Amino acid sequence: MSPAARPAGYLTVPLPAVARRMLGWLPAVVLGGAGIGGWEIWVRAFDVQRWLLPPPSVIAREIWDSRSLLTEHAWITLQEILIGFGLAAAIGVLLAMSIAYSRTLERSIYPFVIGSQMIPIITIAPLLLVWVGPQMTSKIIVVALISFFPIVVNLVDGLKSTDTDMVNMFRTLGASRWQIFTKLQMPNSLPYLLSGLKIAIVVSVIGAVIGEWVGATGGLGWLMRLSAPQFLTARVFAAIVVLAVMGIMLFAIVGAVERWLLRNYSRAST
Amino acid sequence: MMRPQYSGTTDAGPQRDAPEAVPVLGVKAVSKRFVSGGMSPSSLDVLSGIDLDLARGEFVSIVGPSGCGKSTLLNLISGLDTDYDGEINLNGDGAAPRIGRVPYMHQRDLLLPWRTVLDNATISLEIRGAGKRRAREEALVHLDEFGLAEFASSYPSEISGGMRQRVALLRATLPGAELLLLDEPFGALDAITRSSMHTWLSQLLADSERAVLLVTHDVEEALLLSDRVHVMSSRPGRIVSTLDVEFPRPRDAGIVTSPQFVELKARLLRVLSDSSGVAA
Repeated sequence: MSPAARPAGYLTVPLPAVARRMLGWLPAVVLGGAGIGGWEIWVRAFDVQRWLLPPPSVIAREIWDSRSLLTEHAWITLQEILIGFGLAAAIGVLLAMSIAYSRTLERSIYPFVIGSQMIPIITIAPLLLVWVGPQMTSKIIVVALISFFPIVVNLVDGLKSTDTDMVNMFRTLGASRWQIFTKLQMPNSLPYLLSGLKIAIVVSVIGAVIGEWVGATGGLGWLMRLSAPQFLTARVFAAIVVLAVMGIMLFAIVGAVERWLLRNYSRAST
Repeated sequence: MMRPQYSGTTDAGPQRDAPEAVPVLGVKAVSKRFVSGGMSPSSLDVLSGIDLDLARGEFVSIVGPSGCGKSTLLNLISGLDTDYDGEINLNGDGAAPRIGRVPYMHQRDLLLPWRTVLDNATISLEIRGAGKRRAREEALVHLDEFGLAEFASSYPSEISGGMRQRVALLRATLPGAELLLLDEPFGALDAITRSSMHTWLSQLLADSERAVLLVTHDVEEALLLSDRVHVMSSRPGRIVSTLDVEFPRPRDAGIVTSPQFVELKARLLRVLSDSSGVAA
């Protein structure tokens, strides 16, 4: 936006780009601040028990006091997320490509892909523990199991959404089926793949916590599970905060990768 | 069959002078019927008995109202659609599959938004197995005559509609086929850009041996570019009239105001309104 286009009296002092971008977060900061402030006041005014609902100030202090504990367990959870997500991306892309390329493969694979999402994670997670042990592997499997699905569905849609005229243009140029797939369908589906990855990274975080909740030797989910019965409610909230920050950062990273990869995809030509 | 016994302009090229020279494209008695299945099958005659010949270096246009089957005909010639009656010969051969051998330029530029101008043009060479570097070198040679030299590394979203169509044309012509199909290639452009594209294309093709078949509903465009104009009626599409355009090529957009051109245009418009009147 050019400075002239700004409404009069809005901001007449030109701000550096970084400052202007940060200003864009102002509403979120204000809303968050108001929520936290209200919570603090509420808890203090009505004298709510700390083990029932600790005020934000106590949670903040807990985050600081247990920083090494939280970091240790966040690292475990982060590894489960990253490995599980990576696995899901690799498997998801391969499955989606098979499904989009071959009708037979679509008919044989797709029902199972959808069926996999009907498995109640809560019931299979304990079994996984028995099968592969309480270490990270079972959590990685849970993460991969729930995050590969949005990747497959989005990418299949993307690979199939190719413009018929484009396909015909490739055919008149003599393109083989495989060339159409690699030179047209795959690049065309990149925005869809990235949408899928953004959803996948978010559900990965949830997957890791569910996996840890059922049984683990470490991780933020495990820490919450352990702290709640001891009425260490502030620690539960501290873990939630760390988890949320981690999730938002992971999402932001995928978003940044998306913007970079799709920098030339803007404004499709006719 | 009327073989070209008119206008001396197309003889400029190294056209074989034997009267039985094999045309680049020979369309004989081609008909096309769309059948929709279901409980009560119905059929629609889209093309009926189309005859058409293109010699080396010739520019031929088909004009007709929307829905007369012009694009269907191009789909048949390009090999995209192989279901028809009659005969279509490419260099006298009607048996070999044509798909992949006849470049076909569409009204939409169909450029890949993730590729630069240069890489959009080279896709046709890459498909033929050329390495990226060699394809680029080959395309770079032509960028200048296509007025794209400064835009080689621009993306389609950054250039104008006229430029995008030129990229699409470069892509279609790079593999060097003898026949080029144009389906209302300038239909989406504004009048001023279209006019400059006509002059440019006329010059580009002036000493080319490539035969071009243009489908359009722009009468002026057809007359300005072609050696011969066929008028098609709709439902079923058939060629109702043929006009020879004897102005020497390349032509300048200035000729559109000359009395001969105006007279020709009036004749063509009359035929066109008669034919669509019959069809209505």
